[in-house]
Amino acid sequence: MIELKNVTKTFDGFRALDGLSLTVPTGGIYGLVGPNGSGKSTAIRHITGIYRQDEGDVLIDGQNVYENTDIKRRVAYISDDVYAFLSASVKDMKDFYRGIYPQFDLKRFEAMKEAFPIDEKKAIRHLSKGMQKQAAFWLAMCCRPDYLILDEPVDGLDPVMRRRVWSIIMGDVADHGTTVLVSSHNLRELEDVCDHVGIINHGKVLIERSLSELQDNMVKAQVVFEGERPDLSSLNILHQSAVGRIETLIIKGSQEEITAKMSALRPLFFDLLPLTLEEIFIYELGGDEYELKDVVL
Amino acid sequence: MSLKTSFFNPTIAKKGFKRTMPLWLTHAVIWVLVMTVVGGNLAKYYDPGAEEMGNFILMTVYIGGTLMAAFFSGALSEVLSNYLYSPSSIGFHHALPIKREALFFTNYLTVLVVLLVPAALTGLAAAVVMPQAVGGYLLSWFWIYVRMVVFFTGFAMVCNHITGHVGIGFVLYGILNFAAFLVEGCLKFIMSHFLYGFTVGYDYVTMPFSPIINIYAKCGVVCLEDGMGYVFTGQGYLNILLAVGLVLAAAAWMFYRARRSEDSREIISAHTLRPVFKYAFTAGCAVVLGVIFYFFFHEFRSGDSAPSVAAFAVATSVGGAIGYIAAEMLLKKSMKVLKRSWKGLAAAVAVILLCNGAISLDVFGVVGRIPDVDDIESATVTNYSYDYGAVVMPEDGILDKVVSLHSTILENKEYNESIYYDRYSYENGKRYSFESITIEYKLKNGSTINRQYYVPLYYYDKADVMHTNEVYGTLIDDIFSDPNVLMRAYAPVWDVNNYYTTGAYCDFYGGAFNGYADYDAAVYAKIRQTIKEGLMDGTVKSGRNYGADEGQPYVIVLRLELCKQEGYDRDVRYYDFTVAPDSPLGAILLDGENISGYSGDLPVKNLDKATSYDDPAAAETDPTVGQEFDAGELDGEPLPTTAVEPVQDPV
Repeated sequence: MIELKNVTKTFDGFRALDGLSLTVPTGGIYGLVGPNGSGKSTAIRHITGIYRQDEGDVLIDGQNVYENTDIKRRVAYISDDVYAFLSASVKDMKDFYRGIYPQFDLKRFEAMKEAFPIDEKKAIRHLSKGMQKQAAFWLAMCCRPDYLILDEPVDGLDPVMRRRVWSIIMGDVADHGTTVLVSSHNLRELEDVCDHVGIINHGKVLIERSLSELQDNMVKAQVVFEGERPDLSSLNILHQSAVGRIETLIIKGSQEEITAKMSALRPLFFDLLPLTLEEIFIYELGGDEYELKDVVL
Repeated sequence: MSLKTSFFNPTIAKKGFKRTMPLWLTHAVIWVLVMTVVGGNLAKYYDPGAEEMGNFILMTVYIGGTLMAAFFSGALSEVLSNYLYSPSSIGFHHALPIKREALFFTNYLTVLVVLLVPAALTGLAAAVVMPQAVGGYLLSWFWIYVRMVVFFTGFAMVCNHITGHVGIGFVLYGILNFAAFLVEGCLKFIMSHFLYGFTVGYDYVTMPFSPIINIYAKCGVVCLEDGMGYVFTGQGYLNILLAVGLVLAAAAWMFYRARRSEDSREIISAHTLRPVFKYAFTAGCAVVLGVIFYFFFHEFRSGDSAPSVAAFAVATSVGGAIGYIAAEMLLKKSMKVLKRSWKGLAAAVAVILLCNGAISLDVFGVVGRIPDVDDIESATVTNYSYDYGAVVMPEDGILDKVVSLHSTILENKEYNESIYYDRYSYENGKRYSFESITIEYKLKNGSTINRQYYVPLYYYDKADVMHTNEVYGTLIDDIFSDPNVLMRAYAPVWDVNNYYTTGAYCDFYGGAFNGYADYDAAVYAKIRQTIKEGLMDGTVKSGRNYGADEGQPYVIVLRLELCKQEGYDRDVRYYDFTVAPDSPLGAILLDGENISGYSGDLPVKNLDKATSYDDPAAAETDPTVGQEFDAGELDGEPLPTTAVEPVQDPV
């Protein structure tokens, strides 16, 4: 389990993390989303032991991460900006990783050659951005990490490769109980893979729930009333719009509760539609003062 | 078996070796070329002895090794530390399951190993190709190089770990190797230029902070006293450098431990050092650029004019302002710093102007400082007109005259300065000849005061006749002609037990006479003894005074050459005296019986026994004709016993 407890970090007077707390359960995929400059990458750099927090605790399995080689040996990190030594090829980096990570899986490296069509003798810096990302995934997955930390992982990957990468990651989660923390702007993609989501802004986690909890807490309803619209004040409507006589309502509450309340009002037509993660974030936080335009692609 | 230590990581080391291969291969090739190819050729074709090979080996490490160690340690440290300078590389390295101590010490050891292992192997190869060289020289060569490399690597590591941008650490390392020396040189210029009479020595107190220069200054290769080999001097200093290098490496490690990964791309990543950098850079620019600007925009343009504190204040203010703004730009990584930094800039310029004001007004009393007579242990007055320094002791009873001379010079400061820059014109009816007068006090508390002044000691009237300036002339003459001072000044002349006479020659000038004579060794003792009497009664004067005194038809200028030999060290002295023809010494010098050879026209009796060098046949048989004494002639040979003529000191 990854835990950040009241972590603060200040850069030249700017408070990048402001008492941030989050919990990533073991064996799941946790999506960390937030607008630009919200503190996602800073939080991840604390989890990977790159940054030292000013205050608070950064723990993996209850142990501090900073300068803890036993913990860091179980963590693989793919940053948004892939790094490789000057003129180092995938083969060179494989040799390097083998020296650093004792559990580096050479068989897996060979097996994954088909999944990642990269010339392993070509300098990584000479590869395209997408190919560099593939190389980073290839090497990271061969480290057999218990914790996989991904910062904007699939930027630059084509749709086929994205699917392939996620397939490998989800396979590891299912087969080995790997814990994955992924930060992204791409809510639609996260919706497909994450089982937990945390939204971060101004260096704080605003909401941290499982995806099903989030979806159970809000409904999107289409309704048509005969004649005048009845009083809907008993419902916690977050947003409403109308096309002709069809009203679309985003209502906070469980499906059962809202269905019961609506049925009592005897509408001509009533239907519940699935809410996307994007809509949940927009309507959950829309009333707050947060700048949400950056959250959603 | 895997290495179980948190201070070393073999994978990082392997990567380091590979990444730095071009550098350490170059380093190794240079040593191989010098030690095996050049040294081997030397040994094979010139067949020198063990001593000369030792000299070659020690000189390579002294001359070349210093620069090699300085450059390659700096460059390798820079390359192996440059992962600190970009967010992606520092993120990559610090996310790895490797402790910082392992990253640091692995890189540190990598630098030492890639420099010292090839050097050691080169030393072994050199032992094969230079069989004449005894192993001790090669061991010494390697041990000297080890200490240099350890020092420069520690120094470079500190520079690399307090900076956060590619190349800045190496540049800082280069600057810091010479900065103290440069700044002290500029400060010395400022002090001697603007503080009236202030003198600066050739010793640099900040030299230890300029290690490359200091190694060349403090160390060297010298021949052993018995001539049986060479030795590297400065071993103690290199031991200090070794210790300092290790301390610097520890300091670099402390800076790395405290370093924040997010400070990559900062110019100075150590936050505590940022103010130090800003103000040190400002002060350094104020001094160095100030001196440069002052030279270019004042001295070169106005030529031989009085020092201008106002011009210097402007120059240093501009230099300091440039330094302050540049430091702010570097620290804030922005060109737009004036809006937020103008107050600091104004304060910095104000401080610079205050310093200039302090110099101008002599706030610290440097210019006006004259010691009390009771505090003086000894004083030495030097003037070009006299070929000796007048050493005055309290028991001489004339220390008050030295102090009086000093205060007279200071009282006449305005006068001296006002005429100095017009000294070649006759605007005031006189053309002044400025002479240097230096006064050095050794005080009873162990401190010293050194001052040098240029004063109008002589002047020429419109008929071009020289006169002594009455302001200083009497005081100077009183000091220099004091009997005790003279005894001290010419101590080697009286020290007949240690100083041998190697020659006595006279030039005759004036009237109908213009000639030269040298004297028999048999008369040397008599000459030396009579000089003392002449100096006491005033018939012999120090130095060459070509203007004949009133009543004298010509002058005799005597040159006496003395030498003291201790082992292979030789102390050669030359003394000139102007001798009155009608004095006892004049009588000796004018007696042809004492002359061994001569040329020209001399007012000398009994010259018929002496050899005339004007006779070509005689000149051919006498190889010394027309030759000055050259101490080099006696190199390696003991002095002739005929030159020894101890006499009892009659004084």
